[in-house]
Amino acid sequence: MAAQAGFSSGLSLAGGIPFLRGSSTPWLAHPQQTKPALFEQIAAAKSGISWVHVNGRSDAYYLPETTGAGCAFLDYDNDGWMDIYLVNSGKCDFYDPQPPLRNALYKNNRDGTFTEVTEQARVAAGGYGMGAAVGDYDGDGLPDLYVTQYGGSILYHNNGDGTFTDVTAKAGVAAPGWSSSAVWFDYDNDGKLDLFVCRFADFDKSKHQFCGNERTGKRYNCSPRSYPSARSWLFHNNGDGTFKDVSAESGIAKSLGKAWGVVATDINNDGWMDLFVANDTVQNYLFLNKKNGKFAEIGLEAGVAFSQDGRERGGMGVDSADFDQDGWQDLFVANVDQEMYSLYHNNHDSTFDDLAGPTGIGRTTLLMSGWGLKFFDYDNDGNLDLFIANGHPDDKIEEHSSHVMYKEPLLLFHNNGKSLENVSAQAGPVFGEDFAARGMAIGDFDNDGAVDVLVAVNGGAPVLLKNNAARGNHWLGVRLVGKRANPDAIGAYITWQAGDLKRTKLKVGGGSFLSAHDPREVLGIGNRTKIDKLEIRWPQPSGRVETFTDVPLNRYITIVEGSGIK
Amino acid sequence: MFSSHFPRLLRVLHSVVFAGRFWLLVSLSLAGSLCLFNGSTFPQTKPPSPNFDPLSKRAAEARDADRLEEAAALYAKALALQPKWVEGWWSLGTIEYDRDHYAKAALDFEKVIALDSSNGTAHAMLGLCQFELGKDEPALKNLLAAERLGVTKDERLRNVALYHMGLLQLRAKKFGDAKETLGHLAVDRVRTKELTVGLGLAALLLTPRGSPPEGTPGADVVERAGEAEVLLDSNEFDQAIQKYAQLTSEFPDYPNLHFAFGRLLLETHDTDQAIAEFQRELQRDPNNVNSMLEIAAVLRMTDPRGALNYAIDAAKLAPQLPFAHYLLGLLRFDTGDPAAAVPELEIAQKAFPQEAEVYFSLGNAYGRMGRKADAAKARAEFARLKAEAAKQPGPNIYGVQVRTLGKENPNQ
Repeated sequence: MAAQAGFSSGLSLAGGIPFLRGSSTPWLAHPQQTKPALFEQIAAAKSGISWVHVNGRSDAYYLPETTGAGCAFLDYDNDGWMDIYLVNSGKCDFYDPQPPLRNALYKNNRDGTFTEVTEQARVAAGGYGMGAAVGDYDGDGLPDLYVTQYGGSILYHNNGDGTFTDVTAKAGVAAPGWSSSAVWFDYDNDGKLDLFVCRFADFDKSKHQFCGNERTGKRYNCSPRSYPSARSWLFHNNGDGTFKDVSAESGIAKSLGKAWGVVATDINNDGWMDLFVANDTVQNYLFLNKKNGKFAEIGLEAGVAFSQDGRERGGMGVDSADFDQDGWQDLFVANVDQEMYSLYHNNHDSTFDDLAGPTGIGRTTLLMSGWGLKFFDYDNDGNLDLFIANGHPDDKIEEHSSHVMYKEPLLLFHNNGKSLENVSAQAGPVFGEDFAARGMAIGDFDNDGAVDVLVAVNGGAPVLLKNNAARGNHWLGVRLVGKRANPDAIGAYITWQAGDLKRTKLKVGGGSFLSAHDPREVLGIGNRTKIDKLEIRWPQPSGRVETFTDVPLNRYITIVEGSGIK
Repeated sequence: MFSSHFPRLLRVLHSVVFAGRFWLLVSLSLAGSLCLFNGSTFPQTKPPSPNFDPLSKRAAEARDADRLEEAAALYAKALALQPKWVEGWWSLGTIEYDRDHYAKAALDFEKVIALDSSNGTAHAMLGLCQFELGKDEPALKNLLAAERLGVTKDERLRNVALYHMGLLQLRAKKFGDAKETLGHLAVDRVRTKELTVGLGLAALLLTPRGSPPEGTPGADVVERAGEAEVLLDSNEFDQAIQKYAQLTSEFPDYPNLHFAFGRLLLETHDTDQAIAEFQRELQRDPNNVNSMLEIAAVLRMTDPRGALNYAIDAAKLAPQLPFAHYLLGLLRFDTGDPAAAVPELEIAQKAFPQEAEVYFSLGNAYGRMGRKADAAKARAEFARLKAEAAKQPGPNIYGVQVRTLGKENPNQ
């Protein structure tokens, strides 16, 4: 097919099965390597992030125990430096931790260290936390925080003084049940951020099942197949601090699923944001925006619902990006082991081809289970690379399945313009370690223009990775502030040209798993020394196109819609 | 609550005898009460006749005293008075089974099933009777129903049922199914020569009738291949590979041995070596369709164009094999030729009318050709079959693979 003859024609079968075994990683086999690590793990002692996720693993093996949690980069105090939010488990109908657990907000000290400010900021939550979504829903210029939980979620309004207020009840966005990922985006192009909340299976303690060997009584984690599907939520922003549940009238509620990951993107370039939702043991959903407040679920027709053989998979993390720069948004979804992850290339007609096979991603991920993931340009060469955090959901998997490990290595794929090459083996010692990774967020916490990574670990400490890979390449960091368009400019197209390099990027909403990212876009130009033209196409209802020719380099700027560079 | 009388099959299982006709002779002692059923499994109905209670009591006493002929007669009389007495049919069936009256026992278990169609254990017993009577097809059907519905939690009966199911699948040349069925026993640590040989036959695509005579080198190959399969099912991957490697070096020309080794290597995810073994099988037999299909299926993941020729050759050599057409259809589609994919997938659809995946692929191919109505129809059928399948209980833990379409050429 045309798509395969293009980007993928030069693709190499990088990586491969042997690399997946954490105990024998190529990194450890090449200790003589002297190049600096592409990503360097920042120890807790250095960063000051001492918080640890507690999964509360019980003998009963309640399913939520193995699925969390998420994390976020956000600049809660608007000082231009990315702070960190971490989600923990907590009290619910099957768990009552003593002492109580809490989420954590870490303020960026601007020197590579962080200070915990959870109590002052009043964002400890306390329920059985899952993930976080960040967005300025009221347009006051401050990022607000939505924390998804098993048993009802929380909307924290940013007061602008370093504190937040729980406004869930007033806003009407509690989303009872087991919520997972959430995304802020403007589905009706009215300039206000709406909220989509993934709901996982219809589960509570009373519905808990025995899963395992009935003859021996040995328990394992239940596959999500054990529990019924549930409807996700779509909340329309009324513009007065309240939201209306439009799940039914929008058509979203018709599609019952077991939703883990979501990304808001525009698959047909019509200027209306669509949603791609990864479901576990249920087909994935692609909700096409019909521009009238409704969505049509077209996953099957689009070729993204099932495996290439027509099977439901264990979809978890998702993202969307135009990774081959053909002008159309592609999709990625990570699945559970034996299923391969999928790289869906957009055929420009609302259908997709899965390039996981020809790119080698399929073979590399055959035995892995992927959660947090994100396309981003880690080396600022102008091409979108891919980072994936992995780990099997069942901590007993090694007892009853061959060749699959509970803890798995991180994966890094470099986009060289022709192929996605697995460079994990060269990316640093941390890629030789294994994790029960779940959420994953990207953000430049040290403002050096190299986008860093935060990985949330189930039952462990978060992993903060400093990016060293972009040294020598030039960049421009852009924060967009919408005025008629939604405040976070979700849906904006950013086009930049530097000599022979021309790139366009859609500012998608969400992506990854249970996590929220640095809202700034870093535009890489490699070793070119000037950005000749920068164009912002603001989303509707603005639709304004602004062009800038005299832009600085290697620094962050803020562009306010209609007001230029600040 | 049901009594503790169960057929010999259920009472004593301490040996599995492989006597040339693949029959399993079982004997086991029933110590204590083994609760296979309870009142909720078999609904009790109040007997209408005043004679029923004394009759049924005497029948039970005769049965418990091992006066089986008398017990059978008394049960028959009681059942004439109360034909919906499920426990009575069950007891009579087990007595007849114990007396080797398999035809009579089968009729009794059929009565049980007629009154309680969801009773997996009765399906298992009926299947075992039919196995004895040489009625392979219904026997397999009933044993599959038993597996689907769930047999009593007694591990021994389940093992007996699974073993017979595996034998029937071997007889029916359903080698992949047989390997999976017998593999369950190996995973559960059942270790008998009969099971090992059964796994060896399944791996080498041999029926029991076509198995080499005892004491010949061929029989040695079958048994050692089976040992390798048992090792695989025990997660002893290195030892399994070592055993096959040794075997293929000793018997490089034994039919389907490289193929079996290749499949084992696929299980251990060593795809490159697996392809090499399939190639060796093709060197031995250039017309080995199964090896062609395996290579095509493996290469489809990374090199659809490279896979295509293997699928083309397989479909030419085995036009009667629907899976070859299915795979060829998939590869035609993958390589950008939906028009050529459609006829191949339509052949597969006729052969596998209940397989959702075939309609999925057909929908894709029709859609790519612009045949919107046909695509919608195929996708609707796909959705319908998926919805049906979703009603069936599936694996509830991770790491259990869903069955795939059977693909071997049984005549290779």
